[in-house]
Amino acid sequence: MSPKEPIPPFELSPDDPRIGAVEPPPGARPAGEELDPALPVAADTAELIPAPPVGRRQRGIGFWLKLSLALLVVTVLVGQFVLWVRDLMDASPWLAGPLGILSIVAVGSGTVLAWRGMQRWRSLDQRAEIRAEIERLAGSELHGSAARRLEEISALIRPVPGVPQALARYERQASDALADGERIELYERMVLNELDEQAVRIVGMGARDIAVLTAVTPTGLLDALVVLTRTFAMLQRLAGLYGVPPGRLTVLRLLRLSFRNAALAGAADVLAHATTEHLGASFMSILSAKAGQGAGNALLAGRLGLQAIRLLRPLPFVTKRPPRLIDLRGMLGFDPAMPFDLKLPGSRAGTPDRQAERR
Amino acid sequence: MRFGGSIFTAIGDELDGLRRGLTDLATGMVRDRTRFAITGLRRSGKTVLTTCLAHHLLEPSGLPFLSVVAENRLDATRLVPLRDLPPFPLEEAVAGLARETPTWPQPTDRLSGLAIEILYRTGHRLGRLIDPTRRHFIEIVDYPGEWLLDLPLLEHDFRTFSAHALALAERPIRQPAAAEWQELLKGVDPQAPGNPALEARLAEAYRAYLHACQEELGLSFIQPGRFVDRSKIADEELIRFCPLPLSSAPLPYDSLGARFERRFERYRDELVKPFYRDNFSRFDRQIVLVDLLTALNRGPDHFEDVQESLATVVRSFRYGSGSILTNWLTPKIDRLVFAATKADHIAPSQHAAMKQLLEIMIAPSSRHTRFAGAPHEVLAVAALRSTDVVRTELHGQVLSCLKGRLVETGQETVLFPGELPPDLPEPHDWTSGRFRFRDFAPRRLPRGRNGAASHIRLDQLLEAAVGDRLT
Ligand SMILES: Nc1nc2c(ncn2[C@@H]2O[C@H](COP(=O)(O)OP(=O)(O)OP(=O)(O)O)[C@@H](O)[C@H]2O)c(=O)[nH]1
Ligand SMILES: [Mg+2]
Repeated sequence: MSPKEPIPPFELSPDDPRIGAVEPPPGARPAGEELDPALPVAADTAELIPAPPVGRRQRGIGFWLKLSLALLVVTVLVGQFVLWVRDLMDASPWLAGPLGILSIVAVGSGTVLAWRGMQRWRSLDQRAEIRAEIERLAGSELHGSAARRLEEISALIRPVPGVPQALARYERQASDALADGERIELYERMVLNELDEQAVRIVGMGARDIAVLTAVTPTGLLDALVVLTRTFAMLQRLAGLYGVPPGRLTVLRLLRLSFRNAALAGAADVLAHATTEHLGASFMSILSAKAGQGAGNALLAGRLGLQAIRLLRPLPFVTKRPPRLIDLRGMLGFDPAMPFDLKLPGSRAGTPDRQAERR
Repeated sequence: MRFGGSIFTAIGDELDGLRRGLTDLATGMVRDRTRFAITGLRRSGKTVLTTCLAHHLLEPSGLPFLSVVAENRLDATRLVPLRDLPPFPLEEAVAGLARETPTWPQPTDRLSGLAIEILYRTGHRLGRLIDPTRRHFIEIVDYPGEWLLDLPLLEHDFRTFSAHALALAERPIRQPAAAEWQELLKGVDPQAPGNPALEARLAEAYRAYLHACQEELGLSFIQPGRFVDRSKIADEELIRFCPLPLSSAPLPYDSLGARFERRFERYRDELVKPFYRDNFSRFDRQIVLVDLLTALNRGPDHFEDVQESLATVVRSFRYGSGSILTNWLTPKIDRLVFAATKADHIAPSQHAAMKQLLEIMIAPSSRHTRFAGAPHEVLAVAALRSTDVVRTELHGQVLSCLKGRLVETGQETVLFPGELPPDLPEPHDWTSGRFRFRDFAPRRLPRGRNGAASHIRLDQLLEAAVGDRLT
């Protein structure tokens, strides 16, 4: 293994002071052992990591333009404010004093809030980093850093209901003889499987709600509103499920990233519900156009939800494949792969959507 | 292509599920039992593995990598006797391992078997509709490892057997042990009429040579196996022969050569053939156990000897993935696992190297099975883990040491077991004293629900061997 000479076997006397403790046997680890959740990823592994779906992009000229404009505006505003306070000071010191203090307080608390927002904002990046790291370790037969990484993940998701029990089960079953790859596999099976099942249910239910609601709303504007709010709520629940603090900013970012990834996965897929309008002339008109739209909206929401799962999950999908639209079938009330590919107009294509309407 | 990827994979999945459902339905009658060929030379860990497999399956805990267990689909398991075979002494073996100071089971001296009936729920969506609860029998046969090398005799006649055995005795490592028998052979003419006294002397000399090979030299390639094993043979005459230097001239009926030839054929047809026909021809999954560490301890000649023995043994099985019907009529092994046993004798960090080395060692065997169309998997396992890992800091290095009770001394100790090369050892590796793996006494077999730390990859072994039958 090492380039040096192998160390020959030797025996130690049992009371040798150099002997460490027995590796913690499974289950003996204290349950609440917390780790710094923001542990940085080793820099030297950067090349090995496949480009994470979230994270910093190349900064183009546009970015610098925006940044400099923003800085310009901020400087002008601050300068204006300072000048104004100074003028006020000359005119009436009584007013200027409290005003100055107030503004300092405002700036201070604003900074704190922004910092927190940034932190939350980073939680998705952090997931991506851990995912990339785990991806690298998956399938490895060595005894490397997987145990430590998985403990980081455990610390992240421990607040989620049901997870502590699953973690305890995992700890009981993970023997110290397991190599990195095996450990990750076991963790995925024993801890994340349950979460994934719940997540798919959340997406399915969310999509179904959207289908039903948009099928009965009278106007397009209301449709849009329903889709937006329900999708938002769905993503919020998903974030909570995977232990990401579901702040508004985070969820918005999640929405945007999910949308982007769904679009990358197949631009046409996302626009599927737009195509219902095109198809309207052929067979959608035969159905209730509204129900068709409902189904389209549901599909969109379903896609976004599934992408969100990938973005939120602290582990990449190692032993199983990511959930797909098909998995939502039972919950949606229609087969998500069916409605737009069936070129047959009429009877059979109609039923699934009517079902959706009925629910 | 609007729905390109998704719909086609979806349809593919559905078809796959349907196909599986149908084959399940069609083979529901047929595929409800898996007969394991636990194949291992002597002392390779067959009995311990059988005991631990049965023990863990009967109290299904600590098997997180076995899908039926992990997916919570296992309803019940129980031990059932195997038709036509004496029962495996499971209780005795388990009791021995669960004692205050546990002991390893005695070397096996007879054929025995057990079956475990597993009641489980299927995970297939379609299968669930048809018949949600199913049962599967896992059958295991245990036998003395010596018998294994008798199987290749089925392919031999007396001439080829003699030629092969004589060539083997010329090898430098065996030659000293064979000297006496070879000396005796010099004065013997196979064409001359035989007489019982000479025959007995020859057979005894050959037996002594084989015995020395096995007990003193620790070699594995011992043929015929019943010359050295501990079980009693009903008809002593069956083992009153030995290989002879034969010319191509025909042997007169009453000559020594002809008499030996007839005994060899009786041995082959009356002892080996029934053993093969009744037990070995019905296997459909194989677990090949290799005691890699002992082979390394003993040196390059032994390493090769084990390698050769395995390759020879493997050629006695039928492999391939035939159709459902042909498989039913003449079962073939359609999947194998090669397992390096006693993985607890080295630190877990060495398991990757162990696996790699095993892969190289079994290459002559796996080439045969792969060509026959049976895929294999390689694992480092310990049926009963007898050591703990302790990290020890020495000379600024952190070493993974093992803590356990040594067989020789019976004392608890901590030792650094040494490292495995991930490749075939170089000549100087053999002489540098780096291979001195020690035997540990067993730790108590756990009772109840905390089994995962008491074995190494037993569950992965099971999953690789029958996981697909329990879906
Ligand atoms: N540490 C450890 N030692 C083992 C393990 N399995 C087998 N051994 C050792 O290997 C020896 C032989 O094991 P058995 O199971 O009796 O071997 P076998 O293949 O049945 O041998 P025969 O009956 O002679 O053919 C045992 O006495 C143990 O010393 C294991 O999982 N861990
Ligand atoms: Mg045995």
